[in-house]
Amino acid sequence: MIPCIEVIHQLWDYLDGELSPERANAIRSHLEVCAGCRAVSEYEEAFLSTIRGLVDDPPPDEELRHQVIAALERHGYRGHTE
Amino acid sequence: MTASSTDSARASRDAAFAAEALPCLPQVARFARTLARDPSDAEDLVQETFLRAYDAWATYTPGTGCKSWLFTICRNIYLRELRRGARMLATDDPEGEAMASAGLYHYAVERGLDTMFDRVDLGPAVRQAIAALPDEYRDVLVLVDVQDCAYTDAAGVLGIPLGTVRSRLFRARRLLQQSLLAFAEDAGLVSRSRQTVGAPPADELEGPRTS
Repeated sequence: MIPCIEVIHQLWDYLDGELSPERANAIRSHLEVCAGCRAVSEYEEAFLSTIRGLVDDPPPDEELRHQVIAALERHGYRGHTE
Repeated sequence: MTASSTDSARASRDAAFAAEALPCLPQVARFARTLARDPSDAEDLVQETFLRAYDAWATYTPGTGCKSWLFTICRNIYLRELRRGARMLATDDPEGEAMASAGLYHYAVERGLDTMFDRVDLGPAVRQAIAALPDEYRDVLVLVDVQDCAYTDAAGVLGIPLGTVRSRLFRARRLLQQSLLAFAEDAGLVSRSRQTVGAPPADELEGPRTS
């Protein structure tokens, strides 16, 4: 089993899905049997969920979309007929 | 080239632009808001981004990641308008940052804050903490954690090495965690008898300082 220090070093990469399948499996196996590292991992996961849950901020309003298309049309763009 | 073939080429370009670039407007607008912060400046930035993208459409290869391409243009315009120099932080210790974050977990456990993400609405505090991050850290955190970019895509947008993406991202997350722990303590979410004021002591929690 890989040591705890390696798991902690690569925990963010693991949670972000940035590791190779082999390395991710090694860390997953470690987390299954190591309560200490698993607790850290769960804490970091909860933190990431908190940040990522904020992405549902309001989309740009239609006015901005119309402004962009109007500016493009003044620029020669003819792709929109609405 | 005849007039009709020119018109045909332009119509083809405009159709491709409408199909691939314009659907990215919500993401570009969100990205611009995190860069410019001021709503009016952000709208100007979005508009300028799409004008530049339209002019440069011939340099884009369809199907190769239009969102990242637009983010790159957006950020370049923003940086140019800021007249900011190419300041690079000498931060290249992602493992140290990961260790420091684990240290914050233990700090949170000691103060009964390890479940705060599950039991408290930290939305306003998170937004405030993200806005307060130094630009270099905020940019990479927004790309990876808000815009869901892979590390390599973020590196391409920001024009920095992959290792720098990791180190800045991990530091950004640690700074955020420190801010949120301080917020939770100040909000009285922990026993006052065990509380320390403000952010956790740097020497207790932080990894090596690199800037």
